Amino acid sequence: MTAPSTGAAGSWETRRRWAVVALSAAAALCLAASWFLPWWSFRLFAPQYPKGLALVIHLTGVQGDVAEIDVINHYIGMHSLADSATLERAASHWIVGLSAAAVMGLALVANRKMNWVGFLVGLGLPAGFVLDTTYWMYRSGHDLDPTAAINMKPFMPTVLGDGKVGQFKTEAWPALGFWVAVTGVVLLALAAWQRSRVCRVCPAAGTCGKVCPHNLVAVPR
Amino acid sequence: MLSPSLLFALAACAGGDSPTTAAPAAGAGGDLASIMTERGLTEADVLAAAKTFHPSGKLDDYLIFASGGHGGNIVVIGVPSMRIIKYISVFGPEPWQGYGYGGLGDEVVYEQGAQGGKEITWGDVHHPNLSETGGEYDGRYLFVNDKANARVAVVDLEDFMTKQIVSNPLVMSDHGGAFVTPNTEYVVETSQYAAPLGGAYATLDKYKDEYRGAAVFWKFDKEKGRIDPESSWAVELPPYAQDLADAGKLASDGWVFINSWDTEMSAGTEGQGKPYMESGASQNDMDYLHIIDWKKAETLVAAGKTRVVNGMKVIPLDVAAAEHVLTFVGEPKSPHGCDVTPDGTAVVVGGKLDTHATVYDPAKIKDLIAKGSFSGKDPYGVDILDFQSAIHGQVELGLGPLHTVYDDKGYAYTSVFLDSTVVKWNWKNLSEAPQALGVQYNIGHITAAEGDTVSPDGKYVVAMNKMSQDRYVNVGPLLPQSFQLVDISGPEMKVIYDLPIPLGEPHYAQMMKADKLHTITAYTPPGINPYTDEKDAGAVAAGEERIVRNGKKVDVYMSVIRSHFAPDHIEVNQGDEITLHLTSLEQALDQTHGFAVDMYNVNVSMEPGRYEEITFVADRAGVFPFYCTEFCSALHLEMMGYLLVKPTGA
Repeated sequence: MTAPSTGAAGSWETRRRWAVVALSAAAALCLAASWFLPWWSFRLFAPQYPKGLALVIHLTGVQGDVAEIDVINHYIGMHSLADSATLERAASHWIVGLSAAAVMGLALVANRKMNWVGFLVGLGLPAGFVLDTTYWMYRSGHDLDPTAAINMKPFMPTVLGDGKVGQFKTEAWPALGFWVAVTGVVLLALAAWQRSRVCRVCPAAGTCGKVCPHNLVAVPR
Repeated sequence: MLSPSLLFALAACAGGDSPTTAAPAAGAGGDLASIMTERGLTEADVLAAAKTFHPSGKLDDYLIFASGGHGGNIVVIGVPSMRIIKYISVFGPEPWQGYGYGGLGDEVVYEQGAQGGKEITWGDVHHPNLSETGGEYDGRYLFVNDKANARVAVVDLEDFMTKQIVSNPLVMSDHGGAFVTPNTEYVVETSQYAAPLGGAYATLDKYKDEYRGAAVFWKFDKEKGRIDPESSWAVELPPYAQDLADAGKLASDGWVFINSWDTEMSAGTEGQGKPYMESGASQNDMDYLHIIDWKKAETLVAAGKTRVVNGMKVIPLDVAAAEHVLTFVGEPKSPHGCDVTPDGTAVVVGGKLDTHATVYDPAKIKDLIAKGSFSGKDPYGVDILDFQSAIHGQVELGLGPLHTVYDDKGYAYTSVFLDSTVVKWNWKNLSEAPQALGVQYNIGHITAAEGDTVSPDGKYVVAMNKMSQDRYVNVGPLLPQSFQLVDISGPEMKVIYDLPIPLGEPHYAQMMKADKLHTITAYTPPGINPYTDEKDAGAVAAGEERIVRNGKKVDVYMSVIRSHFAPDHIEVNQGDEITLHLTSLEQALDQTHGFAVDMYNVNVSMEPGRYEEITFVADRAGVFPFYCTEFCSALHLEMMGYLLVKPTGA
């Protein structure tokens, strides 16, 4: 009676394949959900703002005390927050939607060589966000209107942690959406790890083509 | 008695330190005991300070809305700190609030406020009343009357602004107002000095025949937040110099009680060698407490049993008398206060020229009227109830009892003018000995925490003294009035703070729990017209600013935000009519701008998000700077622009 052990092994193998799909689906869901959530949070404190001012960055735009921060910023010639990252914001639903779809699609079709592509796609979102935000913060601190009331040396606003600009103390931290996306990336790493084990014992190992010929879950016999 | 060491401990606790760290500091300004010695303070003084002192940032528990008398305004005071927080201008122009200097408020203060076709720019504010729901202050509106010109104003407590003035078309002066019914169905305004109704003329020998009083029931529309004059009506009254009034509540809901002090119908000395009013009106031992059944009056109005006088429906005196919409009961000589108890089961009338407070029983009154049990009729056919059968009893309080307020423990607090005392007494158990507290000086009215509601809070009473005399540094023969905060939480009343009132002569006040307010910090979205509560058609967003010329009419659509006006150059020709449509694009807390045009008597206040509209004829040629009158920002001085008025023919 070898059937039970073979069966058990086959069952574990099947489960592992499903686990890769489930982890990838959860990751895709995390990435998609992050689009609806705030990604980065800035707080500004000054004597005349004892409760502080909040600036919350979503992939679709900025929220919080935007008008008030714009008013303060105009004194040093910073451009309006609405003028930052306009392309990225307009395309954010495509970027996130396509990333989530790619992650899900790759979960089903990626072969051994493409194992980590889904993870990299997922990683691209938070990493790209941090880079893009840093870039725009650099721009806002450097592209200053020379006719502004207050002449300021170009500066780099603090994107993470505590900073200081004029009479303002600033705090900047990732927000829920960022962490949800990072969770998605971690899930994708787990999925890739599991897939690497699936591929290692796959009967089709070494013979698979450009994509997984079994749609991952259809265990070859 | 508190020992100094205990006071140390108190002081230390208040500072957040442990008592052991409260070591006396060296030199002046050090420890409490030496400060007490140096300033001559008693332990009671220090306790009073501890009860009232507010460290920076601590907010008050209650707000007093005090009438400003002939200042024409309302004084808003925090309790227990007794800090004056704001003045609300009502019947007169006031430049800080930009009220009456070219903006939208001009319509309220000058046009709505016009009385009998005359522009009137002051008022004698007497009795502020907060709007009520179910007999509780609801924190939404404040009503005040103008004794001098018979007007009532509506203040919106969302933004503490006067939103409406209605001018009484019937009477020439008022006093018994503005009192609200328990759900603010009506704001009641009763005449004081009798005159022919509707502004008519009659000589004083026709006083009894032609001169009348009236109780006007202004219908309040809670949704709109405005009085609806079309749905308002009045009850004609004899020329008895009606005085203070109060609306029944709970057990006595549906009734209004009004004092009178001239049932003698003395009209002064005119032509007959009679005594002055002060004696003439004080001859009878009894005047009449007026009892108005306003729910019945409503049915008479609906049934059309009214005549129209100067545009207002009036229930004629004979109809009011016959239907017992109006009934009288005697009250001791020239009384003043007329105050319904929190549960509505009693009405207390202060004697003024009589040493007693009289406690009436509305249940007995209702019963006597229902049974048709009357002891007489006045010359106008109004039935009079028997005094003894209508009262619960009388208490002797001293010389000149005026106005009564209540606490949560069944006690009444009456201001006693000539004795200069606040007298605490039990209005149910009249045999309990009253307790008097001296105040400085000549107390007129009195107010208590939530005192006119169905559930007073106790804790505080404020004596509103007509004279301050030696209480403050002499600032000239015209001295301020004086408020004294009285702590009523213990078995003995104690004065714990004196506050001079530097602008106005308060007659009455109400004290409301501060957390009942729903005050806004900005008009949202920007461009709200505070008089319509809607975004105005003339409001602009950033980038939409423009100047539109149409012949001699110039419309300027201007935005206002730190620290500039856009546009900041306006060029017109002499004689052009300019309309400035201003929109504050601000939304931040306390970020108010002003807008003044030099030499043109224009100044408005631009609170965050507010819309203003200013129309004037540019009749003087020249160059006129305009600028922000509020210190709004570091570049406030730079927040200016130019109005260029090109001379005709140039």
